[in-house]
Amino acid sequence: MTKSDLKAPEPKRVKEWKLPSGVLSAALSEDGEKILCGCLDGVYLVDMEKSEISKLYAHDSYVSSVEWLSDRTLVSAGYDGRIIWFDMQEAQEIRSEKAHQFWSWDLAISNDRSILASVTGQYLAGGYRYEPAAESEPSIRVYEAQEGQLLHKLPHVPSVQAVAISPDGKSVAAGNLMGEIRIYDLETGNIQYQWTTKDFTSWGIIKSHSYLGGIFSMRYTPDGDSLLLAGMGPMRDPMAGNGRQLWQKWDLATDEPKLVDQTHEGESGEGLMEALAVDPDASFFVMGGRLRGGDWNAAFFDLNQGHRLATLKTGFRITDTRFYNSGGTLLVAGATGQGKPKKDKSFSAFGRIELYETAPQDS
Amino acid sequence: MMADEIKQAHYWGLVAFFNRGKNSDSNGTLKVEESAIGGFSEFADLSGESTPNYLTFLETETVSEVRPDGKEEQEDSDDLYQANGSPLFARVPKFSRREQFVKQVVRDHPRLALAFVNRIWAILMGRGIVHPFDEMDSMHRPSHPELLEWLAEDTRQNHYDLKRLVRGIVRSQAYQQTSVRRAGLEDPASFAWYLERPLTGEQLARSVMVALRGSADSDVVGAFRQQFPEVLPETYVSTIKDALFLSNGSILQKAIEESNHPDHLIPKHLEMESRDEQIRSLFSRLFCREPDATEMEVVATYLDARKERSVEALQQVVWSMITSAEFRFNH
Amino acid sequence: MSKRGCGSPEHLIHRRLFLEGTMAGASASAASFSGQFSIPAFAKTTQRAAKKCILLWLCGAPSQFETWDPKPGVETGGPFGSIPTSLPGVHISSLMPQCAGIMDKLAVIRSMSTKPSEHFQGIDALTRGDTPRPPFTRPILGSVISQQLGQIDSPVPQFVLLDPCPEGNEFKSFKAGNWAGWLGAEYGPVRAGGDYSIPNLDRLDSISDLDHEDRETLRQFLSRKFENDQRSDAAGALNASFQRVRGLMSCAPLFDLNQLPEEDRNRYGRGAFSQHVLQARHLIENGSTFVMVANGMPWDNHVYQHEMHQMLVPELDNVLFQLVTDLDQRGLLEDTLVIAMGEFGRTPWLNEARGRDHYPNAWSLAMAGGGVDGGVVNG
Repeated sequence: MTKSDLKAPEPKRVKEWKLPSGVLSAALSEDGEKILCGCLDGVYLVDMEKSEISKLYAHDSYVSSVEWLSDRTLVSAGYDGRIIWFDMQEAQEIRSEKAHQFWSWDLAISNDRSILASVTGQYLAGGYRYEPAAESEPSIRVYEAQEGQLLHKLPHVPSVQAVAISPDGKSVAAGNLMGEIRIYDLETGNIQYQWTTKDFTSWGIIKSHSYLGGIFSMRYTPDGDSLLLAGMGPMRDPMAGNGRQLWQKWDLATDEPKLVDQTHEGESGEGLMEALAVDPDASFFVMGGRLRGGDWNAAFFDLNQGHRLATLKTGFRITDTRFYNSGGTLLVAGATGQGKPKKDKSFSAFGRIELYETAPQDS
Repeated sequence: MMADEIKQAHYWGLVAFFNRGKNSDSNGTLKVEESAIGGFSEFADLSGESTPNYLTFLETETVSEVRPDGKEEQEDSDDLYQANGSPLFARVPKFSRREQFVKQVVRDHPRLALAFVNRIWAILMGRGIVHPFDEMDSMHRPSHPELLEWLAEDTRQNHYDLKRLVRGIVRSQAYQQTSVRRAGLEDPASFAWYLERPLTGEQLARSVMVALRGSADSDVVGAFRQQFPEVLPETYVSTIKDALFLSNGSILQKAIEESNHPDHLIPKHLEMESRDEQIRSLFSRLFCREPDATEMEVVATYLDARKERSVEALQQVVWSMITSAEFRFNH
Repeated sequence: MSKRGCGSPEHLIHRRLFLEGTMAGASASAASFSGQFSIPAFAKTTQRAAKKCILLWLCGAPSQFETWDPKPGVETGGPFGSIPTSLPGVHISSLMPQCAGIMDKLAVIRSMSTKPSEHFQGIDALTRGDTPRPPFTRPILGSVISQQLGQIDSPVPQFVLLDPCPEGNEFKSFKAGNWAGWLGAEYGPVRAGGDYSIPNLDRLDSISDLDHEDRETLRQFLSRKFENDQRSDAAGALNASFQRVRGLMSCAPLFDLNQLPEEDRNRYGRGAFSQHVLQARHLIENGSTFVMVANGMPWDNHVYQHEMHQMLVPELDNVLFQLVTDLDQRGLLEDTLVIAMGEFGRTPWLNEARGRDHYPNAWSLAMAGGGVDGGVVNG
């Protein structure tokens, strides 16, 4: 393949905030003034204009996902299995739904903010080799986003760790520990596609005999014809966390989903990738996660040809990343290590939010 | 090496010395090709801080090397490689990381002579002056530090003359001690008796075949090597699986049964007319010594009780001898 | 010096009887044990009241927060909640609902504080009881217990290590070491389970059972002479392992997972660790004294702490519950000590890779039975 024809983005960090606890999910408001942050200890709001950080409310466990529903309402999901709708203006909860017995690993919302989907699943030993046991509750729940009516309960195999809704809002895709992807029709609840990629899952050889890894993030391309997956490649010792920084692109326009591209040879280091963002203009996408070995933990890739275009080294594990302003702004969220407590027994702030401008400099 | 002695930078440094190499079999010959470019990366510690993977080996200066800055793409070109290459060998970069590594180690690395001497001592004496011989760190102190230091210095000054070192050790009184442990001696690190050690799997297999057939050629070597993989164990550990392998495994049994040529050990001994001669000869062949009176009596009793099936009986006696400690250990 | 004094006239006579076939006929032969499950008399003799122990070796070191000592609501607490237990006021991790119901039978120590913070040294100290004392090698817990409390005359191995995973990094190196230490190799474990299946347990057809036994007696005679003449510990170790061959052959069925009742196998859970905990119960019921169950080193979750513990802890919760309940119902709990522990705990603070690191300063373990008071939480 030849070098990409695209002009490489030149990401410049323009803003950064530290939050008291690790950030697992973040979303910028439409006016670009506020950032919602789903943190280990609750939902926070960063008011960029006032330069203030405030805590809105908490789940009973980690907050795994946050999304704006309007300029004053938001929805969050957490490791307590709850989905909470919240009115910021009134500073009160609108609705709280116990969606799952186990964690909400991930929550996705349709582009028109009418449908949301949350995925769950506890990995429990189902066989001698620690094959995952079958689900004890529906692994995927789909709700009407604004009013919260349950639309679908859909089956999968735990743990289901990533979910995405197609750009037209008609399908939901969910991927699990074992690399199995299921896509359901949201009108009928019927399954449309079901396939498995083995490239994200490790079977422990060195320390343990069990499975580890899986798909940690998935996004549709803007045309809805392809699905991007992220995670890391298989490891001999899963506890080393040194799998290849891996994305795959699967073509859905044919009868059978087909692997059309993945991280190019020589363009990856090591570390778990748990975030994907696609530029709405469909020219590039970003994958982010942890730097374990190599020289980047987030990179821009040509959406069509797959080349790596630019890299970032943020110095913290990236948990979520999103594009705004037609791809001109990139939001990055994550966490450093918590570190040992300070002398007064408090911990340093270890949550991170950063904003980048991505446009290439005119030459 | 204890975790507080080896740093993450050492691990990644060691990786960097070798990460430009790849196996190739171009022109039908296997070789390692080393690239002149690439192999620059960073590693992260558990708090997320990242550090470049400099060429760093334990207890030596970091090897300096030009590192490209982030954006710069390195171009590979023939100028970066030594010109006088042979087509039989992979081309060698002018700056070879592998060569740099070798220099770091062999040019008076402070541990080289110590490790060299300690390993040779362990091979000859059954355990290292630092033991285990490959764990020379703060946890494992030498039993005889002055001796280790003296041997290392002598070896250094004599340009790592292996013959001189071996000669020195095997001519020492320590090496020539009897393997009989005298009463009151407990600590093997005192080297006050010759430490018996097991034959390796391969030695054992070949010894068994020499005993049975007079030839060290053996198709059982592979199986024995797999069963007894250790070649220089820290301590001899005998497992019940080893005993089961020898007791119930078909490998040894078949080797014994199939050693049935007239020239082989068992058929030859079957022909001997006197029980006495038979047993004396077996002990001589397998233990290199005379049996004592009790041994004579016990073996004779065993064979006499099985007169009608003398082949089996003799096979069983041979089995008992080659699986006994006297055969199993170098003493 | 040698505890295996041989060569006395009396022993010699016995040996000679053996060699003539007289003793061999009178002693129990391997064949008579192979159907042992249908011979109640055999089960009775092996079940003589004696203290026994099952050690669930949680190698790699589990997190105290996700097991016995949850700290919900604090910054370092992790994502799992806590639940009340059958002991008023005592909470444990929400991942352990079954053990919560039998807390009155468990003794939990939350104030373990040890020195070594690396696996090998931690495993060494916790399983041998102290830090090394060169040049002597301390025997491991199972060797000591089986030597002190075991039944020397039993063909059933007194100390068994069940570990289906032959790997385990530092644990793998540890497993390759000298377990019996100064007690001598006869007190080392019989290692079995999963990938450690025991090959060559069956006698070859080419030799009769009687000859097999007599041949071994002859081997012991020749080999012991060398051991005694040389005062050789290595020869002693070799002879000890041969001495166990016949006994182990006689109880081969005890090591066959497939002979365990299907209902029990499902109840314990189908994961390799669970299946071997069930096998441990079975071995204890049939005369073993100390059974250690491990599964490689799965608990060392420097990365994916919560993602791994969400699977490992429920498995532990279930097997510990099943095991303690079973032993109790069979009247064996009084005399059987069950211990579940690893080599240290995990840091309260999370690292960047979703993990918790090594932490020996304060950690937890649990025990039940063997005369230890239940319903006790210490620290």
